[in-house]
Amino acid sequence: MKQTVLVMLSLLLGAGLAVADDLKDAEAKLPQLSDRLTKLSASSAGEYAKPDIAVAQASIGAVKAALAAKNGIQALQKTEIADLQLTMAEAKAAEHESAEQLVLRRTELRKLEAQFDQLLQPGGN
Amino acid sequence: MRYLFIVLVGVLLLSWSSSGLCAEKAEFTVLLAQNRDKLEMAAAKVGNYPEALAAIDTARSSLKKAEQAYDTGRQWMGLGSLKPEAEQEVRHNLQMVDLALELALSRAARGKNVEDAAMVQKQIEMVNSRVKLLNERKQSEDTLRQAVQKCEATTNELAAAKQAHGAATQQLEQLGIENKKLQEQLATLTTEKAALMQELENLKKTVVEPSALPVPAATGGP
Repeated sequence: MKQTVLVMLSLLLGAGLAVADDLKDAEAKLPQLSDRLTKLSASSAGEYAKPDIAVAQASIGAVKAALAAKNGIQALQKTEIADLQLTMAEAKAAEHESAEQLVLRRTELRKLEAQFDQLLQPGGN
Repeated sequence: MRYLFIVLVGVLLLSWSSSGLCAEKAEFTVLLAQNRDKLEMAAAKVGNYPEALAAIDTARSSLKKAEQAYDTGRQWMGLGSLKPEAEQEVRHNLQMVDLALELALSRAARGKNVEDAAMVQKQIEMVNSRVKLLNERKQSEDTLRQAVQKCEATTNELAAAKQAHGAATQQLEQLGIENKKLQEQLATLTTEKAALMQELENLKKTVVEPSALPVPAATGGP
């Protein structure tokens, strides 16, 4: 009977320590996430990936709420989500920029082709 | 009768709870299967862009975690419903799968854009060099045209000069002929002058005796 109680107590203690570890991890990651969010909002991503940044901001808010509620598992899960959402915002901004670059290049090519065609016309300059 | 009623209620309760459990179990099984399909479709779509493939790997590992959480989180030796924390874990990992797949597609789209832009850049350089070449040819063509125009003007000048030269040559020939005539006249006159001089000398000799002077004959010459 005593052994069973001891085992139960150690299991509870272990679970409690694990939750405390999750809280610590989430707390440690929160400033990095906030930093990334600030930098991203100030960069071109602030313009190109506004909705993604807003979603990441909401997730960081959820991390803070979970930390306040001492819910370690949820806090850690929300940090993972926020991290991925920030990466997504970066990717979306990069995708948008690359699409713009592509449009610019294509426009330049079309202009050059028109110039070339004009030069090929008899008497064209 | 009372026992029958209790058994009936028990059976109804059991069937209701088991149908609820089955529905929950089916919901997660379907969600996991849907995510697996989505993952495979996205993996086939993203091509060979390393960053996109890394996101696909993240999605795969999240899906694996969701499946593990689903397998280990069922109560009553895997026959019952999911434990709440396992359900949370499964839903969280499925959300991670969703996000990672979206990330993979976005990175693949960027990779494609970058690749296309590089291709377009190559075309720009090619067309640019052709335009440059054509411009150079046009310039040399203009230079040549100007040279041809100058050449034509010079040819016209040359023709005019030749014509003037011809006229001058003709004039010179005319003058030569006239000169020759004059030379002949001069020679005749000189001969005549010499004859007259001789005659004058003869006359001077005969002046001593004027009666001996011959009577001048009627001459028709100058």
